[in-house]
Amino acid sequence: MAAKYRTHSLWVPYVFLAPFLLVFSTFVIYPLLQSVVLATQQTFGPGFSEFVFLDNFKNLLGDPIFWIATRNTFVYAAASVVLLLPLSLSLAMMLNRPSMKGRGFFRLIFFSPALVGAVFVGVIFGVIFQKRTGLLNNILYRLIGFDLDFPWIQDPRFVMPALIIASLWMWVGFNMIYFLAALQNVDKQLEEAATIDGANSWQKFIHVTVPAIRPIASFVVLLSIIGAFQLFELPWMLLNQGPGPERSGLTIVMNLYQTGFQTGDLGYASAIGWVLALILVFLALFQRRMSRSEET
Amino acid sequence: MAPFRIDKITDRFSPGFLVIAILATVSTIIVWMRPESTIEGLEFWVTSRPHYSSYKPVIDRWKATGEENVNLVLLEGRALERRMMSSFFTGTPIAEMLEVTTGAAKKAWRGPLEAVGFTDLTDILHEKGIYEQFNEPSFSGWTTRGRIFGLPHDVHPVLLTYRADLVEAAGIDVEELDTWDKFMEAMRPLVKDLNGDGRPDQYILEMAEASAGIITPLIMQAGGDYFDEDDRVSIDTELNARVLSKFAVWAAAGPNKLTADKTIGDGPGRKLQMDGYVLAWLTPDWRAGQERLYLGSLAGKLKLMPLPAWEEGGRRTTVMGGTMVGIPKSNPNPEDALRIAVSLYSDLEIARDMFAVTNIISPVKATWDDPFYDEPDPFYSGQPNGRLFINQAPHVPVRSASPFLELAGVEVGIAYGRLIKYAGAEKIYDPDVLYPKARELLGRAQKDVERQVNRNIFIDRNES
Repeated sequence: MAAKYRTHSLWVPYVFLAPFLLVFSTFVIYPLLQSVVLATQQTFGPGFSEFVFLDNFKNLLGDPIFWIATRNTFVYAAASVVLLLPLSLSLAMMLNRPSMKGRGFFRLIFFSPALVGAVFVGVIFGVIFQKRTGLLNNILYRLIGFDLDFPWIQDPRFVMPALIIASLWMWVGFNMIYFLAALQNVDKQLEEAATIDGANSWQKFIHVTVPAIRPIASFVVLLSIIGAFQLFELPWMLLNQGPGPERSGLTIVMNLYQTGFQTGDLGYASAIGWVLALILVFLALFQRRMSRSEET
Repeated sequence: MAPFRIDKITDRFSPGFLVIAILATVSTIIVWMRPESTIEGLEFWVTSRPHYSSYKPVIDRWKATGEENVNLVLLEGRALERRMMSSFFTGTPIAEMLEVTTGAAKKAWRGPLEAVGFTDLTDILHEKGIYEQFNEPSFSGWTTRGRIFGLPHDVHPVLLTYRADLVEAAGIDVEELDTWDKFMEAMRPLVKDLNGDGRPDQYILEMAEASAGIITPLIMQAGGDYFDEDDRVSIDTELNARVLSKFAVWAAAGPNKLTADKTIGDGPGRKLQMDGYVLAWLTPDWRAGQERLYLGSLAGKLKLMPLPAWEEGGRRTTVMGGTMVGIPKSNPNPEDALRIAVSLYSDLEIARDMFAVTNIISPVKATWDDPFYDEPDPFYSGQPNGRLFINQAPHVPVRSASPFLELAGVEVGIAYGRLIKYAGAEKIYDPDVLYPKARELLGRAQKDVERQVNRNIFIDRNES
């Protein structure tokens, strides 16, 4: 009886694992391996492919369009971290004050843009940023005589700021929720002790609150960076399904999409995908190392 | 044998599991028992609802009389494009005839010639005399490496729509304005600051300043293009640079600014058109149909005129957009499909309906003499707009069908945007002074496009 039980116990875990492994292998492992093969080919659909070894990667390094996309993505990622985090944290601190009335209502209001989706936000801000007829220019014109024809999404210099504004509107409230959760776990006794020791608000924030919320802040930084490198729908819709003037809104994923699905060069697109994956791995490792060094 | 007891099952399985299991079993049985649908006759996929509505009565009549058996299917544009490319790449089922736009069609000829999924119609079009029945320049958009892969659905000549009420009130007679220089100079007094904020609110011409949407048709009007007859990149040419310089001077910020950066065709753009923000804009025949639909408040205030030429006696039109019918190689009877396509496109009833609904004129020359094209159009102040477009149809420029045309357009659009900024910043209002900068920027665009073209190992330039 014991032997029979042992025999069963040997294959039972594999039976339970099998459905997951099957799906994971089919939809993750196989495409991943296939994309490595594709990255070494030039293709016109599966029927026509030529082995080019590392030529796709070599071309990528000399491709100005790819570098524009990379630069734009890094700028957006940097802005996401530099602007998004302080704004989210400020909002969370404001809405964490027990004395504030209607906190629940405001939390919902600030969080709600994250519920509508990037496509919707892109479309709406595309209208808001219109020259002459757009809401933003019209409000500013009436308030301060701003230029009605200010080209938010027509001039390459202003496309990235416009994109960041739209992105902030969408994500500040979402990240605020993480910080709210973290703030509610800050040790009250430590705060009280700091108050008794004569610390002012800023000192309490720097020496009590920040160390307490650091793990969540690190997590939000990582999420923001990964999200920034996956950016596609928002600029795509904001810029009328294109990369914007002078490709000022082109991101790496948009470049990948246009190459793979609009021009049909899946090999080159796979190479772009792998470079993106490597960038993300590098950034994640870097962020992890930074977090660890801060902890120690 | 123990009797079957329902409580044994309900004890062992939860109600949720049972509901899912029953639903799965029943739906499997239904799907399994459903008879396989078979479509008799030839299938024809289109993406435009007006096209669909025009073809439908004729196709239904053919079916009723047993003349032809065609199944017309209306699909969303991108769905058709995806299914088309999937079929060309992997052989998935597809219709026997496809109506596709320029953007979708070009994707099909990015690979080697033998990989183009459409049937090569070149020889049969000439053998059967079909080529001569259609407007010849209209085949150019569907020709790659010297081979024709589609039958043109349209010509899409371009005229200039202008605000006749405002222009005529200013005492300007457009009949005499046969070149762009004359036109812009005569209209210059109409650039006005209407709200007193020191910035003009009324411009002469609508231009897309950050894209090649308008400058490309203007380059083609002048006889320029982005690829030569052998499909080699030819962006950096004297002619292209002259066109860019001239329009950049009119678009540059400053006292000489005559054009407005507003892409028409969307809601905000149409509002500006109705508000008189721009007084003239390029109008292909299909856009005239949309204007009638969306610019109702301008009825009777607009007129059409041939585009001003680059030089006296020059071409007065250009071309924008296009649709073709193509026959996938998977169709075993391409001749039948071609016969049906020719019948549809030559049908006078369809041509009339298409013009009445969309304002698109037929590419079949035999239809051009029909009086319905001469009917006065109250929207365009009683002008016979069909005749105006037809008069220009034979003169539409031959255009490249390179699969890299879109990329070339993007690069030229970037060059144009930079040239406008440079002219504004340097206060250059003379096209001749701006010309060297235009060449420099076009040279850069040429190199960028060449880099992408040369990367493609499938297109053998010796094929062309």
